[in-house]
Amino acid sequence: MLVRRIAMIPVLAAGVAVCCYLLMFSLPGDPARLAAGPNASEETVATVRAALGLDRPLWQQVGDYLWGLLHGDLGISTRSRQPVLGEITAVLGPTLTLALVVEVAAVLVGVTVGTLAALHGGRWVSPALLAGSALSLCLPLFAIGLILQLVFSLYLDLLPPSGGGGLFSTAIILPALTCVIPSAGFLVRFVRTAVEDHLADDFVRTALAKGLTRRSVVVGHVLRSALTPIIAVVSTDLARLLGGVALVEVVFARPGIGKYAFDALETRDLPALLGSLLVISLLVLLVNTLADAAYDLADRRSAG
Amino acid sequence: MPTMPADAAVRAAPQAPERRWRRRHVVAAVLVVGWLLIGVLGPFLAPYDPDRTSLTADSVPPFPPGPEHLFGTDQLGRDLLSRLLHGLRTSLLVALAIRLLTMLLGVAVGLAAAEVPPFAGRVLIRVADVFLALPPLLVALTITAVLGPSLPTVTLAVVAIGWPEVARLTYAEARRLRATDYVEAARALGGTRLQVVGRHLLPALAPQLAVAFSVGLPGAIMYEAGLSFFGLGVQPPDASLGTLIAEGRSFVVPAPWMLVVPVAALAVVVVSLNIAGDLLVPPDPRRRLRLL
Repeated sequence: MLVRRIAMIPVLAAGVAVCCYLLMFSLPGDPARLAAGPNASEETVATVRAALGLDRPLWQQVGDYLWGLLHGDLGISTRSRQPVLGEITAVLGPTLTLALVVEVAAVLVGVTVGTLAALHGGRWVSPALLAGSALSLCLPLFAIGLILQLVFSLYLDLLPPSGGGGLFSTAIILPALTCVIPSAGFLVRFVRTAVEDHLADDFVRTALAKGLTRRSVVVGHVLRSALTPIIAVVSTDLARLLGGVALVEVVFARPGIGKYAFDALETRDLPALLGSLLVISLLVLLVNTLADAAYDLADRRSAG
Repeated sequence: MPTMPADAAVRAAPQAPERRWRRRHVVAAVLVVGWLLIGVLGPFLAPYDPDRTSLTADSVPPFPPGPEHLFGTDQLGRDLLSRLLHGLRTSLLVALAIRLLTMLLGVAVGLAAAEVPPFAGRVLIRVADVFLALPPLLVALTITAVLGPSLPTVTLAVVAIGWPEVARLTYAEARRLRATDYVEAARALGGTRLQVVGRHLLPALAPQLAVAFSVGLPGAIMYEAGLSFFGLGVQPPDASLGTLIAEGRSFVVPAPWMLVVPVAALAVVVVSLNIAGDLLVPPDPRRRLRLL
């Protein structure tokens, strides 16, 4: 089954590439005019159109694009005249760092708090937690980022409001926190339900009856059986995050593929935009496939 | 397969939860319709003309709260409450349009996929799947790049990222309904495809589609706000929550309320619509979250 899923990747990737291409070049706007600039004459636009191959039938264009992709060719950026692939690989690192930091933190917070809430959910704790996690989901990422910037940079002057930086710089804290809030809020809610579902199961009662400690039952039995849905949710979240950090990167002026795509948008750099769209889509695809594989490992019944 | 006689099923249904279920739906409907009403009526509730500037009353803070300018004024002396009410209208109406178009496209594709020969149907659904794998935000950016920033573009962009979910839902439900006895009976009695879809499938799907419509509203509002915030949607002097937030950001040092007020408004709208969504469907955590 896993082999089949891996074999599906190129097929889906080709589908995604075709979709991206059609999305960009079948809309009523004129990419050649965009690339040539607003003041270009008709002849220049025609030359650019020919140079970009946009004067040929659509299926030939799509074919050429796919052929180029096979050779690692994402086209040339109209802004910097550099190959798009090189530019994207340069900015991919910061984005992946941010996404991974966020997801790890979100899983730690989500699983711990969610499990504790399920175990000790008193009359006040549970509603408070649920309200908190509902609140964390009520603002788009960019708005959370703005508020954090206002509080932590402008008023408390604790953290830098913008800038790049790796894992160990203070500049990563605010963007990461911004993304962790909704992800963790979502996971807390989910883990709590998943754990509660299993607390009443027969095997939990049996494990307790045979003298295992509460802690080992919770970790070894309850969380173990809640693992598969948690994997599913975390992978969905990670996929969403990869596409969603773009605006956070823009808000915090943080280099990354989202910022790159946004800058490409501002300068009407279609090849760069198309390349970012494609690379992120492929990453999402990869995450989903890995999640499927992890799913099979965690629950042998689903592998078949 | 043994089936329960119809009357037994009716008798087995407990009364109380049924009534509570209905109350949940009423509250949810009130929340959704209430916000849409505020969206439509907002400009009539506004105390001032949102574009009226004032040289003497600029950057009036909302504290201490006074009846004159409840939320203060901006750098040009425009009343923030009035601007907020106008912005809310844009945001809510755009969200409404987005959801209606999303439902229309999604239902059309979903029904088509269920009605055409199975092979073609599966291809259609695979197309929807590929769209689901695309990062929504970047798709929206791409569409805006090609079409240029404007309100219709934002609407189109958010519809483009929302329809596959509706299509999948419609497809799955339509397939399930097609196998039911009454649809089969309708077909056996000589109902044309259009009749079966219009008289039996669509009415049976309606409640779920209404739920899907409302559940997607907060996401649509957040997307519109995000795209407008980055200057890709509503263009000045028109205001939406997103442009108000963007404006507030530029004046955050002298007048922080200009940022805080629209952000808080956005949060209140989304929270109440989220609550409405949770009341309609018991929250399924695996529901795809659409956040920016």
